[in-house]
Order: sequence, then C-alpha cells, then structure tokens
Amino acid sequence: MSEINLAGVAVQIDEDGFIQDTGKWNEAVAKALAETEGITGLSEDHWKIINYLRKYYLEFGIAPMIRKLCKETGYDLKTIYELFPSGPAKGACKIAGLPKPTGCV
Amino acid sequence: MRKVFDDYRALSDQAIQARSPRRAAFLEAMGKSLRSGENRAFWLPYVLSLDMCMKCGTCAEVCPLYLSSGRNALYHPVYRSDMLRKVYRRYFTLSGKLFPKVVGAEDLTEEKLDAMAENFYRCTVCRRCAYVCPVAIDNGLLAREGRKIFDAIGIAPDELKEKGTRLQLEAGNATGVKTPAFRDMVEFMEEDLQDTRGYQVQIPVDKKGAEYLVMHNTGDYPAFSETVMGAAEIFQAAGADWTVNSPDTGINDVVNYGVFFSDTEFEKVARAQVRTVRELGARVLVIGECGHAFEAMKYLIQRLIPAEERPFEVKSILEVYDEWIREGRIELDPAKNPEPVVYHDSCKAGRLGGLYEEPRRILKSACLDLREMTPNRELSYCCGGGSGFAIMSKGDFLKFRMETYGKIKEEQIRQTGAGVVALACSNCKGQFRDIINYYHLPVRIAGISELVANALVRGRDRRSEGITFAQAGGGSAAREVREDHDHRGVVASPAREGDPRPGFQERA
Repeated sequence: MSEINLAGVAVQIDEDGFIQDTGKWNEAVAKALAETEGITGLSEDHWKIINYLRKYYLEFGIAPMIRKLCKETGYDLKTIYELFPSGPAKGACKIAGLPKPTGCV
Repeated sequence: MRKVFDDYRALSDQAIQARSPRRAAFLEAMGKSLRSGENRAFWLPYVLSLDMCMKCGTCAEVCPLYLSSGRNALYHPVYRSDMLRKVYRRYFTLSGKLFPKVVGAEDLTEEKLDAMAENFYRCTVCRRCAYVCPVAIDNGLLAREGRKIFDAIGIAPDELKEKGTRLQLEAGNATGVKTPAFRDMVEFMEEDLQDTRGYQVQIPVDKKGAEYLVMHNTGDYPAFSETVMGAAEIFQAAGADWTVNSPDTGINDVVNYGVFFSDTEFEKVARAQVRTVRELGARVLVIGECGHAFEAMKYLIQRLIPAEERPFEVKSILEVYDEWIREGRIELDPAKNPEPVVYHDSCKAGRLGGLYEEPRRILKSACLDLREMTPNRELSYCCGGGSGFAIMSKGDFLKFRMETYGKIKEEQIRQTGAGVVALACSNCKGQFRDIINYYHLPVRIAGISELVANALVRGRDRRSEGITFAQAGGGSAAREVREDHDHRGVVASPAREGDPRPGFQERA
C-alpha cells in the first residue's frame, strides 16, 4: 500500500496500482491512472467502457461479466484489449477506479 | 521491487515482512512441520523427500521451469528443495548440529529466508518431476511444505490468502460476488443463451435436494461464462435434476487455494464446502472446470475429513459428460466444431487427478479434428498458471510466467496448428489467455463445456429422441444408440494421436 498523487488528489494505491478508495475517483484521476497503464488520452471508446464498469460496480459491488461488458457496450474482447492492453480486468477496471478483481478471473 | 532471488518478485516486501526478524519463528514452524502429529496429512512423504534425494538430477531434465529458463541453476528442482534441506539438516538432525559442513547443513539467515520464500513461488507444483524420480521424491510437495511453513508465520501471497481463502470463507467465493450480482449474472446468461441459441435454458439456483450440485469456480461466471453457459445447456439437454448455488447457501465457489499453500486454510474451506453441499442435500457434487478443486475434493480431502462426514459423491464435470455421451444421454455432432482443437492436460486434472481419457473421449465426440501436443498426458508440461500463478501478477510476475512455462506451451500449440485450445481448468484458462495475448497466437481458448454444448444435437434432430435415459448407466436402448453412432462413425471421429511418451525435443 502506498500513497500517490493522481491529478492533484492524494490516493492510496495497492501493490498492483489499483486505488483503494473508489470514492476518490473522478475523470482526472482516471486519466492519471490511464497514464500508469501507458495509455495517453482517453477516447470516447475508452470512456464508454469505463463508464459502464463504474455504473455496474456502483450497483453490484463487483466488475461485470466480460461477456456482459462486451454485449452492453458493443465492443468485442479484441477491441477491449486494443483499448486497454492489460485487458478488461487489470487495465480497464483499474482506470475505472474499481478494486483489483480477485479469485480465478 | 528489491532483488532477493532472481529478477522477479511474487511476494512484496510487505508480504514477506522484510523489515522484521523471522528466523526464529520460521525454525519453530518448521519444527512443527516435522512432527507427525502436527503435520498429519503429508508428514511421511515430506520427511522421506527431505531425507532421500540422491542428487541424480533426473527431475531437472523434465522440469518445465528449469528447461525453459535455459537451465538456470536457480530453478533446478533440487536447488529449491535443498534450500529447505540445508535448514533441516542444520537444525533438526544430530549430524547437522555436530558436523554441519560435512552433511551440507547451513545456517539460516534472513536473506536466505527472502530467497527461499520467493523460490517456493517459482514452482507450480506440477509434479512432472515426481513422476520421473527414481526414488519417488516429490519436489513439488517440498515446495508446498515450504509455503506451509511460511504461511504459519504469516507469509503468503495476498491473492491466495487475504483475497483468496479468507475472502471465500467470508463472502462464499474468492471472487467476492454477492448474491444480487450472482443472480444478475445467471439472468444475463439465460438471456444470452436465448439470444444466441434461440431456445430457453434455465439455470436453477439454490434448488434443495437436486441430484447434481454443479459448483463452478466462481471466477468462471464473470471471466469464462461460456463454460458456465455450456454446462447449463448440457445439464438441461441430459434432462438432469441439477442446480448451481448462490452465496446465500454458504460456499458457492469450488476453488480451494489452501491446496496451494496451507493445510489449515485447505481444511477450513473444504469443511465449509462440505457443509454447503450437505445443507443443499445434493447426491453428487459436480466439480466444474477447475483442476485443483478436483484434486482437493476427490483426493486431498480424504487425508483431512473422514468419509462419513461427506455423504455425497464427488465427480468432475468431465466424468459426468463422458458418462452421458457414452450412455447416449446426450448426443453430439462433431461437425458443429470443425476447427482443429488441441487439448491441454491440466496438471491437477491429469497427473494429480487421473483424468486423461475422459476429456479426450469427450472432445473426440464433440470436435471433428482433435489434435495432441507432444508430450501429453502424464508428461504434459504445466502451462505455468498452476498453483495460483495465473492470478499472480505483481511486479514482473506475468513476464516470468510468459517467458518460462508459457514459452513452452506457446511453441507446443504452434506446432499442432490448432485454432482452439481446449481447457478444463480456470487457472489454465487464465494462463493461456495471457499466453495468447503475450505471443499474439492466432488461437482461442475454449472450455470443454463450451465445445460440448456447441456440438449438442437437440430436439427433432436427435436420432435417439423418444428413448428414455432416466436409468443411470443406460439400458440396452442406450447401447443400441451407441452402436448406431459407431456405425455411422459419428462418435469415433478422426483424431490425431500423439505419442504420449518423450520424442518431444527437450529444450536446451
């Protein structure tokens, strides 16, 4: 656990770089988290996925199923990997301010 | 992260408690591990493996890590086991206490502890080495015993403990899925099956007294849902009385990460799982596509929980499909899966669970072109996701998995020319997903359930329609149907058989 400054906000991150207090997330934090993933500039496509992940997480307390994410956003898995090279769980969830997915996912 | 052993770190400085002295606690925990009463499950093979090694090196010649790393001496299985042996000799044998140098005993230091903890998390406990050792030493078991000692002093990867066994015991699953999310997932899968297959598939949840309780790895719901959906189609097609269970019923996750690092955690999770199955009153607990869960519930549990406390049958989902296909209870058309498919033997389902022919019979019935990578079966190479590694990615650990174990699998798969890698284990699925991405392999992964469901012959197309298969084991009608299949060459589809024995060029 360590504290870093993301877009002027002091946030605790875990050893995998996921923020601990999802309440501290905002769009500027998302952009800063994206840079830690080597993604500069979030496109409309990125935001569509990020916003869906957050919406689902706030309702159910967990990241959505990959298959549901693809179906609801209209992006196939290949495109999601192109947008978030670390993948939907380790990449997109991190930028959306979700905790790191656990278990065999 | 600070270098303590090789170029990688599986455990952070925080996890490894780098700032506090651990030596005395380690020796005390190791002392306990060497007393049969305090290590009842594995004491005998453990002490024999500590005492017996004759340093012939046969193990190294089959170790996927040692071979793929260009024979890096740090990864020699005996080097790893000797880290523990040197401490054993120095502190727990008379000769080592009196003449340490003569018997290869060494003092334990804090630095050696760091290196040891890391090295125990380089071996996936695939036990390919144990299969060939002339004196039956199990280096995998020693790596696991080492992890047990570390866990006893509070050192374990958080992926496996804090966010693994502990989360599972608290939330019902290691994925942290609560019941509303679980229900949402099931609902989505039912809708999606209706959309993609064009017919209704029901996924019963929390049904009491069902014949089959199908417990998947809960991670399969969000990550590999095609497996869960496929299983639902198959159980429905077979007319089975079945159910899945939500976290409301207790444990709804078949994983047990205690298998990887702790008997204490193993037993807690297994007991909670047994309680859940008993309360639901299922006759058969069906282990979903999860290698270590099969080893855990079928075999390891026998060492820890008496049989009378487990009044239900345990079957791998592979055994169930295999039986149903042979009985004619489900009918498959392999032409529906025309792409070349290669099966990867999960170490836990295969070497440790004995399931070699079941997946192959299933896939021959479900796919037109089943291929083999070489070597396979008993000598299959671990994918590198084993023992929880597939979900460990701190620091450069992903690179470690890809550049060692993963490199072998990448090459094996390319050689088969297959477009689909069929897998029966979630750890393997996670690891192969990463291998495909890392090496840009033009293949996809598929669960066995997904391929079988895709090949299902349903309703009016079924030649066997009208025949009842309610009797387990099938009757003469079932046999007739089977013969009919054979006659038409449907079940016995062409497949390339690889030689299961060496012949594969071991890598230098």
